[in-house]
Amino acid sequence: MTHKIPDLTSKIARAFGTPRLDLKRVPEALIVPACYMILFYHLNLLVSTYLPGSNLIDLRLALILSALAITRTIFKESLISALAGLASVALMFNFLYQAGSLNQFGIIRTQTSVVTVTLKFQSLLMIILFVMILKTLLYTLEIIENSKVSQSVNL
Amino acid sequence: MSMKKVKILGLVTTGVTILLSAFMISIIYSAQNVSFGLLEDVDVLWREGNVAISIPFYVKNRGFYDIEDVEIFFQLRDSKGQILAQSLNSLGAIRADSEHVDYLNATLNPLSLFLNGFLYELLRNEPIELKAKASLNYALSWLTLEAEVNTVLTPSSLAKGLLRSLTKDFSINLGNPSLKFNDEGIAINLPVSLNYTGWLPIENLQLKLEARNSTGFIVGSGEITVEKLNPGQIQVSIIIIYNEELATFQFIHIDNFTIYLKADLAGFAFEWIEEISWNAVAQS
Repeated sequence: MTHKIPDLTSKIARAFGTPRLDLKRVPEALIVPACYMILFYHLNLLVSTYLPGSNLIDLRLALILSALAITRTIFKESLISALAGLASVALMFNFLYQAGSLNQFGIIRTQTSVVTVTLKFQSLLMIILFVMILKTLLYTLEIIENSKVSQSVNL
Repeated sequence: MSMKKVKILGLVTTGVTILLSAFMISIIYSAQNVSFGLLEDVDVLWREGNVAISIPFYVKNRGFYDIEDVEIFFQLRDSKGQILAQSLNSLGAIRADSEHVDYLNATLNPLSLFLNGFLYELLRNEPIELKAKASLNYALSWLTLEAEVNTVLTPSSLAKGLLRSLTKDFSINLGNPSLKFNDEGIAINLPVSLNYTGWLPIENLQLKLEARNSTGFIVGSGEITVEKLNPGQIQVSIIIIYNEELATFQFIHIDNFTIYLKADLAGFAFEWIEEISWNAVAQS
């Protein structure tokens, strides 16, 4: 009678890949989070200027997206990178949903005591969703490719 | 799909994401550099059967994109929500890196002849809701913004506008004076021309005129009342009785006239003051 002892350590190592501390990746790891932070900071500033009291933008989301982008850069070409990508797409989708732009496709309506502002951006939202679909497809394919590599290694 | 194709898809996705992010950052940066506001108070006037609203405003567009198709819609509603009057105003486009200072003059036409008088009565007696809705296209028409403000026009805001109209539409010209001697002493007969270009008739117009010398002493005074002043010009005269004490002891020299005016307009009572110098009278 033989007992199979699963080699969990190597499986986990193959799935998550090895973090590569390549100096070439440092700019990439900094630029994307910086873009997220700049975008959300200025968006927050804009919203607070024209719609005081509105809590449309949450800067914590920018921090989470930045952390995911850094994770994706560090664990490049591994399963964890694709999962981080999928998580960022899901978060962005959730942000669009929470902001109310998906309920009435591309229409955000915010109201303060004095003014009601309606922002319509259907065409822009279609492009944003197209990019999100592209990203979802890309990350799904990355997961499949990574799974194939893992299986072939197992065989 | 091979790893190479996944990489190509990754490159395409990154490219599109960079372009989209750059476009969005440029929109947000541009929108932050747009400022607008009111320069003075809003004037609400009742003119020729319509409600005229004059809003002095400025828009500074220091962004990258033009603000296009700017339209402002006004609507007046009574306390029951019935639409009394409405107006649509188009401002066109405000180009990038430009400033636009203007008056938004909107005339609200009552929707029926019946509402014409009804609206006037309402504005005099009870508040009316003013709904202002602005819409514009931005960032190459990728964004459409609509802002809606609801404010209440009170009779006091209307009265404020009426006083501005009154002081602007009403003018006094003093003619050549002539000396008169009667039992009361020395008097001056001063012809007065009243010009009124407004629409609503002025009622119970009282003019109290004080003639002052260069040191500010009142050397004489007189007053008249005009029961009703319709748009146009009328001629009246004011008898100025000289102050006896001054007339006895020194030569009387008039330097300027201070005119205290009281009038009723559209059910509101107004008081204001005008100053006219003697030189202006002498030259006429």
